[in-house]
Amino acid sequence: MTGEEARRLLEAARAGEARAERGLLSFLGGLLLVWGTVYALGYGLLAARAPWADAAWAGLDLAGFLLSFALGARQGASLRTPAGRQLARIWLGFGLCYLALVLSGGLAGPAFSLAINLLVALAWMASGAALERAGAYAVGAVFAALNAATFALAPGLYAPVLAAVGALAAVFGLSWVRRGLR
Amino acid sequence: MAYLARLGPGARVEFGRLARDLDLTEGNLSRHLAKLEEAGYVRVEKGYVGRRPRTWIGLTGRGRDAFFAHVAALEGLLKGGRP
Repeated sequence: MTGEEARRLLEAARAGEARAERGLLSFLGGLLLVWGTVYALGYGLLAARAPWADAAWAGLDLAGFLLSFALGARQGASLRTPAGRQLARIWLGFGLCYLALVLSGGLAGPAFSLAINLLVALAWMASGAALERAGAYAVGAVFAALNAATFALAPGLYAPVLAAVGALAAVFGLSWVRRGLR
Repeated sequence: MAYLARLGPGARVEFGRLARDLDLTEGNLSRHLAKLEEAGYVRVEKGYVGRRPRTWIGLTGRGRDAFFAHVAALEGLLKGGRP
């Protein structure tokens, strides 16, 4: 076999791997787009001090959970991986903790938001570990640090900062979806 | 095989999705898979999602080993070593 043939075969193998990667990227991008939009709208309304912001949050959360479930079910109907099963367990655990926090009524207002966002950060780090993606793990860690720092040092900016993070996540998510569809 | 190897050990993909993602016709993909199954590199399983019949494709351990050995040999050749 010549070097040129070997290079061509290796490129074909890399292209096959990239096609698998695109499908995963599109799925994760869809989730990021959904939750980035939920955060941008929800925290945007809080930052604007809309009187119905809390009610809107409840609707946005419900829509976010339903869309995430639909995306996960669609993915699971055509692709099953051990890492995917771990992700489902991690985010189901997150959903249960979220529900427990809501039903316990122990936290409200900004403290409730902080607790939920730290749970989101933890679930992201666990997802990064399950997928063996250091980048996803780092995103979770940065999100936790950003939440804690903004909450402690500039509580008045908590909602606007989280709305901006949501908008940024939605833009990244959309770009992943578009790359995945290419 | 590269597609399946990238998904990790134990992964399975539905036949129609595999054909779409690889830009292959179903007939063409079937022929490729028949040869790979005969060599013991892929596993083809029939199942259902709800009431819909589905065919799932997964790489066997032997297939993964063969794929990574093949890639390592190609890389070795390109680096000037013996494949």
